[in-house]
Amino acid sequence: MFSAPLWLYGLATLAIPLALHLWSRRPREVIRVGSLRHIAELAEARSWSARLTEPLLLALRLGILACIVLALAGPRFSAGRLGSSVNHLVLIEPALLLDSSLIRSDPLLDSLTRSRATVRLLARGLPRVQLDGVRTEFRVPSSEFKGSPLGTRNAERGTLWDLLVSADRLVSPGGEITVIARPRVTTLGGRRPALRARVTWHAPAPPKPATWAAARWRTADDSLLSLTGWGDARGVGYGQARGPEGACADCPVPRSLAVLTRAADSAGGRRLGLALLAVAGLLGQRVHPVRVADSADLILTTAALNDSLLGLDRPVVSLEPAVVASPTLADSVMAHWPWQPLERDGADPREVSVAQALPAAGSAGPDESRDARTPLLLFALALLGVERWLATRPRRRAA
Amino acid sequence: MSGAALSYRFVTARTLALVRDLELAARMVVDGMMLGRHVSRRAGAGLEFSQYRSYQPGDDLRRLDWKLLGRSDRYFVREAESETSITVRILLDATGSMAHEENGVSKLDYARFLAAALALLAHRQGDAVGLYVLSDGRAVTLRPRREPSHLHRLLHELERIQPAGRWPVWSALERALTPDAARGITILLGDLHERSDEIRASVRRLAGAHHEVLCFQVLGDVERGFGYRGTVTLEELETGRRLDLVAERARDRAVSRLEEQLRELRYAVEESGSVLIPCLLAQPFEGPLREYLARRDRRA
Repeated sequence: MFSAPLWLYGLATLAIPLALHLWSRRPREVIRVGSLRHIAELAEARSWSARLTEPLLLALRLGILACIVLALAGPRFSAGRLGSSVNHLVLIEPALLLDSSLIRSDPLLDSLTRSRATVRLLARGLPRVQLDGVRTEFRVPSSEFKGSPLGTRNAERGTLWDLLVSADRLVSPGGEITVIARPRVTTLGGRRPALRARVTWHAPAPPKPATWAAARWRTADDSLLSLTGWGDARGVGYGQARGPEGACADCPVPRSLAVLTRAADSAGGRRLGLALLAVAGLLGQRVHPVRVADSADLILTTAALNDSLLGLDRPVVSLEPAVVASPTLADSVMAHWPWQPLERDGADPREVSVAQALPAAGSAGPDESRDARTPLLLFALALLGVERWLATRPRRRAA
Repeated sequence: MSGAALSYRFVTARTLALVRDLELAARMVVDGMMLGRHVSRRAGAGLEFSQYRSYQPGDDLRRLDWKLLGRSDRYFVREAESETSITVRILLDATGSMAHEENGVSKLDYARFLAAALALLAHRQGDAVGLYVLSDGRAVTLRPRREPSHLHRLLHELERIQPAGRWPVWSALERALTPDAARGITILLGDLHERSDEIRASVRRLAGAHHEVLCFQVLGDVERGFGYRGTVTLEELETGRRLDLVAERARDRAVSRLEEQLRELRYAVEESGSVLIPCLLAQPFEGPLREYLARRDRRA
């Protein structure tokens, strides 16, 4: 691929050294002299056209010109391909593999399994998927995974665009990529790339509303306070529920954590509040301060706990007083945070429209290819050095 | 001398190239050169009349001028220039390099005319002339003799010569020259281009064998001044080696390098007691012939 292919017409300049070479090889009058002994050493007077007749020099000059012209044309080459090119590549969201009923019920998936198309998972490394056309099942060899299976952690999944760019390298120019996935908000960060392949998006049926436990802690011997997440195609939320152990009540009303902060002085209290906000923001949790311990979900204190607090069945983060003045206060709060961080991205079921999920239209490839101008120019420079050395080196003296 | 002879005085090889007959060409050269020349010879028995003197008892009666006796009734003895004959050996370099040609005249042509003129001159002076053609690594020998038929044979041999090969090894040259023990002048005609120092060594050995060696070095005017133009391909005649050069760029160094080589050669030749006389293809033959005559007279 060239960014300025019009420069390729410059390859016609290759005809110049070739023509000079042929011209210099034309038969011409030879002067027969008695002796060359006195002029054999005059290397600097050797005719340049004589040196044109040397095939090696000609090849070097052609190479130099070709490199310069190609460099002007702005060649780009792919940084590397994952495998041999295919015309049609099917990418399937890993989550779909968990639901075999979905696969069976989807006519597109069914036809793909029967056509034996090239199928890969829409996960990091694009693991190959083996299709069993008889049983209509997918099997992913464990050796195909580079990371945790099915990319359960967000950091290993990568954005959808990254995966599509990688898949585009596998497809020959003008090929087709069929994506079978639910386009989610959390996977569509960044700028949509322009791909060489034509992308067709197929979104399976939307999932059922989901509910999951974000965090739980015991409040009494027989009761449990749970932070519950819920979501469907319209959005996601978190709620708090209190009930007997084992209960998993849905709390559709979002609510932030109530935190009671106690410090030795008001300045320490403000610092604790700020650290709390920083940690909550980092974890994706909303917090609000309360003044009464009974209504608090978390107690954050640098003071000694009195009996009234000790009797409460609340998570307590007790910090050393000296930590309050430390610049690492937020880190200390984070280290003592009693609940697991909420995996908002992994659990966010919100989807976007297929049109929004498609990459930008255009024939230009992703800017993953590398500019080859510099290597070509360096190579031309090296060739020029060799050519100059060969052209100017002293000739062997005749015996 | 006639006007024709006068015009031959400065005859060049280019003019002589038009003359088919080598003997005629030689006569043109020699006659033109001898115009007005008075050769100093000792009086005595010989072919050329010098003077009369009164008869003295003991004089050879065959030298008595009987006609003068009939007219004047007095006895006069006819005296002629006394001749001192020498042996002239002409070594003609007919190696490949002598095929070098400028303006239609090759070095061999020039050397051929000069050799013919020298042979004629020597023959007229009663000297024995021999020819040794050095060609293709050997020496073709025509031993020195004085007969007119020998001159014709020599000229015929000169006409047949074709340049070929390289300078012969000394042993071949020595074999050809050794039987001619008579004193005389050995004339070497050639461009004297060497591959190493084979010609210098030969001159040294000839001089060591009591030859008075006279080297006529025949060079082309263009060759001497490197008068080529533009990009030229030069081919060495004896080796076939080729060299492409830009003449203007090479000229200064080529000329100085050639002059340096010629100086070294001259020094080596003169060091052995011999003489080197440069000749250019476009120059008349008079100069070299006069040089020869001066040497010959001194030798005689």
